[in-house]
Amino acid sequence: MTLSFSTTACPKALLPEALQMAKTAGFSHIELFRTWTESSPVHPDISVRLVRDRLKEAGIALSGLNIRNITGRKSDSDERNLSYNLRQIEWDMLLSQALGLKSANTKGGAQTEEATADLIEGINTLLGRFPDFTLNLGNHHGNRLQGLSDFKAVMPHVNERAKVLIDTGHLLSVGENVLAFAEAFANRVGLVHVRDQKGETPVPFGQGDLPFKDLLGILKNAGYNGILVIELEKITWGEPAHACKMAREFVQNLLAS
Amino acid sequence: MTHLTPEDKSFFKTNGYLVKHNLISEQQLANALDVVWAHMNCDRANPQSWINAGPGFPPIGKDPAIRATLYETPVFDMVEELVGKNTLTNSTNPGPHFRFPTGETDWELPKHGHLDGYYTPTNGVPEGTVGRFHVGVTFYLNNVVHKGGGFTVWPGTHIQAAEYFKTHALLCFKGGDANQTFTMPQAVEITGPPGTACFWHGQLMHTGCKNSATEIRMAFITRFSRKDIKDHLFEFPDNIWTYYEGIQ
Repeated sequence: MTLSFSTTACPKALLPEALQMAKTAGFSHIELFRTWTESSPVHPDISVRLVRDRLKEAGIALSGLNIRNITGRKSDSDERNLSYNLRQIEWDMLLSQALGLKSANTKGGAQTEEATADLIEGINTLLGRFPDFTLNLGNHHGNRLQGLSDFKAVMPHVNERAKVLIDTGHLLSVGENVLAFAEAFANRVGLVHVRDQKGETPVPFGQGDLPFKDLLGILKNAGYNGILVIELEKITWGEPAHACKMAREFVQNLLAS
Repeated sequence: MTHLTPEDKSFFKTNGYLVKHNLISEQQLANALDVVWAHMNCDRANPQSWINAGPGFPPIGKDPAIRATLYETPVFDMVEELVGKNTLTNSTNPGPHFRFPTGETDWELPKHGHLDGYYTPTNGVPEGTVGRFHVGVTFYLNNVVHKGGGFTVWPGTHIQAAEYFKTHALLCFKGGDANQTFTMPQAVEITGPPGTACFWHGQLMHTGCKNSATEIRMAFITRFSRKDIKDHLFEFPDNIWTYYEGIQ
């Protein structure tokens, strides 16, 4: 498994600064967000071409991009309009491709039946349009894809190139059993976002509720050999780059043992 | 048979637009005008009724007589001469953009233009996306005179755009408003008799003038993209003509 730096550790940092932090913390890979962080590839003061150049200069590979959610609704009026929403997601998928990726990470909409139907139709439509592309569907507190039962309702109905993104932080936030979730979809995992928490509060790796060793064991047994994104957020326990380095080493040691 | 001269292409390359006249036959114009007038909320024989009438965007682009003005004339071939033979999608319909006489006499060249493809709450472009195309064509079905609502362009701004987007996100201009960022030259108002077409680069700043004349500006706008646009939607190479096979 390859460890990747998440810009959740430095949401206000522009891309060069975020890359520097990733490097300082000893990462060879980085994951970016379309929204939420200043290191976004659609930040006004950077082009896709410059993003590629900056990555190359830093010697860091882009491992993934978190794009907008398949909500089935217009973002400006909240009116139900799946085709409009899919045009937004398709644009983000093209952005991912322009950055050299063959996958992107997304989520669903509101916790409604309507949103479930739109999510399923949306995933299948998009993957039909992009034959060599994977969508990693992430769980998120309050989202249509929040926990095990939500994924059980969606995954059987979507294209096999739709994979599960296990986000441990959001599973812990809603009191979901991380190991049961991982077991249920072990053979369909596309990506893992690793964050340790005490309840809803992020903490240094190893000090929270996340059963790291068992989770990595499930992933190993299932033959998962992909990316583990080390996702630190709201770092209050030290200097961010150092905290990220410590978290990386913690997971690396577990993988080596 | 080619329609564009090396001088035409050179002008387009430098200025980002090119105007050609008499591209649509009288019969094609007559057929198209009949379709147009069947959808107007005013009296064809009474110019007084045209003032501030409508609609500005009647849904007639799919009509065979309207499509013929593009695909059964030299217009589409000329776009191909700029971008490349068989490189373009030809399913695009001409979109009517009519400007009705205002009944006013004051007039000045517009001070602000925009880039196309950007989201506004009403234009159908999804928020957080930018649509790109290679060549736009604005053609007139009737006589568009000075002060008559003519299509207006800012020459050379396509080169500024190409340079700017090498280092800035496509999304950086809200609503396509690059007026404060680009150095805006003197605007050029496009006028001409029926059958006049203005070919313009997909990233040229443009707008429409106020119509202080007596005729309706009967313009149709079509935006042509390469079939492979999705492969280079975010690309701004050093040679801005990389995706224009006719201009190298």
